[in-house]
Amino acid sequence: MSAAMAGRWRRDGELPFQKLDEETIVVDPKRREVHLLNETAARIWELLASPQSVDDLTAALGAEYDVGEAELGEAIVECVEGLASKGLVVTAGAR
Amino acid sequence: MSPRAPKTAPEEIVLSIGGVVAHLELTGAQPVFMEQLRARYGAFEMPAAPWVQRDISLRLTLESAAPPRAAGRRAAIDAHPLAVTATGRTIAAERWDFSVKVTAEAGRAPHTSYRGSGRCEMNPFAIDCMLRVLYATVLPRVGGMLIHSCGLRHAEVGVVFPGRSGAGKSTLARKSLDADDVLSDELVAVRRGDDGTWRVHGSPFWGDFARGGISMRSWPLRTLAFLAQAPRDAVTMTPIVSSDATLRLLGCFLSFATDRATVERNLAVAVQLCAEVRSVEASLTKNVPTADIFRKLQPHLGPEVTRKVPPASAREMISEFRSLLRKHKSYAFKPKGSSMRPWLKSGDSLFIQSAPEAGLAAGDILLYWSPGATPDEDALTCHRMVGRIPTHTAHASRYLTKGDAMSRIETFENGRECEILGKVAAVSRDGKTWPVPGRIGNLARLFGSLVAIPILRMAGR
Repeated sequence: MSAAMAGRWRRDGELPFQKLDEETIVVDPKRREVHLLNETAARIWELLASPQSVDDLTAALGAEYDVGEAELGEAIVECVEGLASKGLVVTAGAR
Repeated sequence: MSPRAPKTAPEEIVLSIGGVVAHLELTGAQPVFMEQLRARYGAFEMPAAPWVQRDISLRLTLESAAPPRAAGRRAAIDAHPLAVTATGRTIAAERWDFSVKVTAEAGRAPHTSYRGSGRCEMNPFAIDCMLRVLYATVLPRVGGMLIHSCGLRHAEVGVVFPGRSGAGKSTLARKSLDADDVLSDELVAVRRGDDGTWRVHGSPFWGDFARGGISMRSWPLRTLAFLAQAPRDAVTMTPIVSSDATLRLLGCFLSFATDRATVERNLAVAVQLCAEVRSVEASLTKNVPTADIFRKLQPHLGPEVTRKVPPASAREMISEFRSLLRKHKSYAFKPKGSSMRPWLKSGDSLFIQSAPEAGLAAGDILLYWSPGATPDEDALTCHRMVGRIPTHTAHASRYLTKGDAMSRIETFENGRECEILGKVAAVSRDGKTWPVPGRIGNLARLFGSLVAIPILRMAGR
């Protein structure tokens, strides 16, 4: 895990979103972008309603997904990095 | 002291686009500018009667348009790009050539009316941009939207082909077998009807096709067909799931304000629409004939596309009738009611002929649009013209009309309180058709009825 991933994350509370069946659509009005999150990303987005570290997310999702902890942790880091690169999640201290 | 120039009354125009009624009061409008506006928006204009329930009321002061190459014009354009803000109750929009602000006022529940004022250059492009902004912002507040798309009527249903600039919307419109089936090649209004189903409305907001919808009539929306470029001259329709459709639709959802409440509202409407209406990716090229497109689309349109359904409201029905009359110059109409008995009987068909005001005379039987407060309260009235009185405005006359079976004379200002669509040219009854008697015969009937009705009433006491 990179040092940048070590902190706690939360979703950007300014972004409107709508949950569909299993997916979630997030709109970023400032960038004029729309993102469709798949089931896993949507679940992480849901958990990030409150600040969470990658370890917190791994623990929460470990109970829901039948996958090894290391593999799950990697997938979560990749997902959070992806969300962060799009500006959808921010570090817990930001804004 | 020089004499004060006489004040001219502001011009008025009332538009109904996507069921949203906008009343524009235009101060300083030149007659030629009003002609330009009516040429563009005429299919969506309705009588400006004060009792018509309005969603938007805007007082606009028109200013002379600056020449495109005037000194400082470029700098003004660069310094004042379009800016739209929509807070809870207020919508404000400004650009180098207009500035308007409207505020929501609670009307007859659940109706909300946006009222305000502003200024605008006397330039059709400025007015058009302002109207697009207002409609794009107000429609989602009543559960609808303006979609960047080509809208086509197909048989008795509507299909919307969303696509960004260059996706082929205008090309699709040009290929339509009947240009009157094009609801718009740029922006169509979509909203839920009173029966809960989604409907697509034409609009006067057009692109390169240079013409919009021909009436206010809306059609049941059967399919969203998102335009995509095919690698070769073939057409394929691939169903897409609602989440993918929502994502694509949001890219074509005309929205100017970026505040959270607006975006949330737009998102919710888009999600609902895509969850309830079939969506496909329409992969095609400009060379694919329209017939091929609809043949491939057929399985995705749902059942009974040719089953006739009545217009969603009396207003839509009358607007469609007006468009047909304008197109064919004469059109058949079956009246209801008994106000013209005994001259008209139940089951009669009337042949209505469009007629310029100068061609109307006392004794003619007029067909006119009497607007009500709401779209379902509008009515087509067929009464005999008694007379005409000039009004203070040079271009409008006050008409006196009467049903043959009624003693009461009605009066209205044409174009404002009602709109004369045409006059009865012939009547068809029991398989026989005969022309309406000449003016003298009609006048005799008119005077006869004026005298006879009170006598009959007295006799009945």
